[in-house]
Amino acid sequence: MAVKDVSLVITGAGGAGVIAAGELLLKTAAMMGYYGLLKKSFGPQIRGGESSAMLRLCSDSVECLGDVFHLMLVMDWKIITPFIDELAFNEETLIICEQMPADIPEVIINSQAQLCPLPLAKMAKQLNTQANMIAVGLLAALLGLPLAQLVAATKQQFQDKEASLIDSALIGIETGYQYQLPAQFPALSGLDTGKKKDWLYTGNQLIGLGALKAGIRFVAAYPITPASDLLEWLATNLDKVGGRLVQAEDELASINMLIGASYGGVPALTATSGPGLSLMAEGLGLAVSSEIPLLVVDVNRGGPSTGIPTKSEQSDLNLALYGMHGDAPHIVTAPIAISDCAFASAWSVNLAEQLQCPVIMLSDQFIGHSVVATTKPLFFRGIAQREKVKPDRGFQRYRDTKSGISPMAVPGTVDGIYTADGLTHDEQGIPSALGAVQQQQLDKRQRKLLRYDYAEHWGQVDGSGNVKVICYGSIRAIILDALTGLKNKGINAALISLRLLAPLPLEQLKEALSGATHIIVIEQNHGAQLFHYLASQLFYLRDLPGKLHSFAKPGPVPFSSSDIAHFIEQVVHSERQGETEYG
Amino acid sequence: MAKENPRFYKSAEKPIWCLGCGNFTVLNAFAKALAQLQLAREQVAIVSGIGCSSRLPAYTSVYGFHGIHGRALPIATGLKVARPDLTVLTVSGDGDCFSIGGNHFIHACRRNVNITLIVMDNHIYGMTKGQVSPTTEMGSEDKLSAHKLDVRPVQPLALALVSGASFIARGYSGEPKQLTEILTAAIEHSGFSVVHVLCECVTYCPEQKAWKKLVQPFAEATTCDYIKAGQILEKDNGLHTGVLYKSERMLWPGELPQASVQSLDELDKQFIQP
Repeated sequence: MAVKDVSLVITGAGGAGVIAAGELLLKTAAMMGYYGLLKKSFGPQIRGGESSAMLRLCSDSVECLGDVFHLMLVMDWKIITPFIDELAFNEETLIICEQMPADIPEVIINSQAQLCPLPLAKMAKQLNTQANMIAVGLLAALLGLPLAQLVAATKQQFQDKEASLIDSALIGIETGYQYQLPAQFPALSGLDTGKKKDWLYTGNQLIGLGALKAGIRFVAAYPITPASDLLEWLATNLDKVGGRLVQAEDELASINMLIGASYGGVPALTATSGPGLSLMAEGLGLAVSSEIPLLVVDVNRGGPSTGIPTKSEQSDLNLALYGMHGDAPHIVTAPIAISDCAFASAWSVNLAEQLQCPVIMLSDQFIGHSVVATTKPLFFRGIAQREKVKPDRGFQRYRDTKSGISPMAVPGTVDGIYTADGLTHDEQGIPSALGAVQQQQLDKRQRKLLRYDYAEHWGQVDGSGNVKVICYGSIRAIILDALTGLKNKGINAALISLRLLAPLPLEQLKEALSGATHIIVIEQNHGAQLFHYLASQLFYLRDLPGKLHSFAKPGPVPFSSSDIAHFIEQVVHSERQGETEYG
Repeated sequence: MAKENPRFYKSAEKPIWCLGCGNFTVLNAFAKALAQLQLAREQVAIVSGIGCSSRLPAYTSVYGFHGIHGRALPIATGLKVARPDLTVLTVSGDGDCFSIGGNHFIHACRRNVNITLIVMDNHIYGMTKGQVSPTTEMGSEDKLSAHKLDVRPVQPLALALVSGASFIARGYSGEPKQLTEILTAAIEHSGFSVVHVLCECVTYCPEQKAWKKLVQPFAEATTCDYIKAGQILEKDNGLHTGVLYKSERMLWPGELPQASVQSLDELDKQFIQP
């Protein structure tokens, strides 16, 4: 018996090595040629607490977890409660546990999953090794991953550790691997090429990589989960390319430091999450008015307020779209996949530099923290140039040009001296309270964004059909899973994933929506923010085909593909009307 | 116009300040200091926040940034880190620097970034028509209260000292020559320089005319001793002028690193499994 797609989860106390176990399995599978995704999940504690490694290994590219876990290893039953509503099982699920639980959780009883106790801790103590390493060996054997590859991956993973530690880990791995479990599990199979899936990265890291390749050399930021590891990656790697990261005293400072650096001619970025983005709203208004290019990466977590810092949500959309005072045209982008992060961040930097405005890129915790094993990602090539000063024409920093883009001098330029200003200013940059000046400059700032040719980068359309689904960010992968399932049931749907959220690419959307019978907006937030945004914007397409439906739910529980498929089926079969319809 | 002429550093814009405002003296002293140092205009940038004082950049002929309330120092810090070749100055007021921008002030001092900060302190919010500021004396009229002001003022020089500024001075708008000297020394100093300027507000605080008789130089010479500077400030009534403290301490940030990779594609390696 064999499967092409398997999801497993390992849970344990923080410090028990659950994440390391997940990483080792992912690495080994990748070496074998499988694609994979690892979602790390932690409790709120600084040390200790709960942690879980949710893993999906597949013969095709994967960027989401499966609906059901086929395999679970529980190192401590007490730890399972914080994750229980993120876990689903069925009668084929095999659960290996340290000991039988006193009270079997209801979700497990209902699923009829098979429970198989195994005293990992006792075994580890006897052999002077670690329980998590026995678990890795055991799981690898069940999945049919070769021992030699696992050993090689372990040596690589622990290359900086002491030899004695590696030896004891290997004892654990071999013990687990050889252990004869009184239960069967189908091995992984169906490799597409056997070729290495040799790229291993998180979305946060890939955003950093894309940004540096696009020319970012200055970063100022204040630590915040789940953006901090993006900043840590940038700090080390900026050093390699001659750039610098400044840890600011708060987000009010970080956004303004970006403004200063970018005014000085150095492309600048910050990364934050919801509460930090709120503090930056003031500075973003200044960047719009003074026409300073910069990129803010928002790694969305559960909100509002401190919310659920370690888990994913798509609830900062309204803030990103509408969070500024006054009329403040700016750009909002989003990666459409983990593997799109380098492309999306580099493209965002280019937009900021060319259009001299702030860009907010909406990522999320799932994208940021999940590790994928895959092939080389797509990169956006090209480094944007700002509109330069042409001295013979007489320099006007805010000249009302046809494109709306004005020349931008960098300090040091003899013929370009000007004062940037957050006050309404004329073409020269001189403050003014005249209505004509306000009108001219507001028009100009809007025009430059609307006239720009975003080419085919505005988004991606997958599949075809009269049912059109619209989304952005991390949930695209799970929707694609759902649409594959629906196709087998004879329902054909196209998925429109937006990389450009503002200004909304109305013409492109109109084309992508032509022939639609139903338009379904799916998003991970409580207020159906994307749905309401699209409804207000699509209103201008007077001949909007089909009815607009919303499927929105907050985090932290991820969407399942079966929930999405079920919703779409209901819509198609007209079983769902009213509630959040718009048409 | 030659660089030695202070007018070379001023723009043609007419200031919005009231006639007799102390800010004019600061603008002139700024232009004179730049003329003395013969700085190339395009190599100087002056950043400000919001308030009467913060209008100053537009009246100069160097690169300028008139930002938002309280945030001049972060903008200037980002600019200086990104462009260490520029001479960067910041102009601020008592509200801008010690109230809404207080946190940024502390951290700019602490970092010792090579910027000259000029705080034009008139003890009042002039632009919003006369509310009390963090440096207003206790017992003053308080527009946003039914009572007299019952909170003690911030001590700008002491705050700069304990926060780590490496050049601390006080000037007075009634002493233009001394102010020019202080500003010149502050710009020449390598480190974060705080120049606190007693700046008369003729409109809301006409009583500040009396400063002319009360302002006196510090009795002690400039010290590089932190404890000594603190002792001098213990006896300070807020109306002593001159350079209080000047020390050489490590500049932040250090030299910008040289790129160690030949090609940006080298960064890919960390993601590729051997």
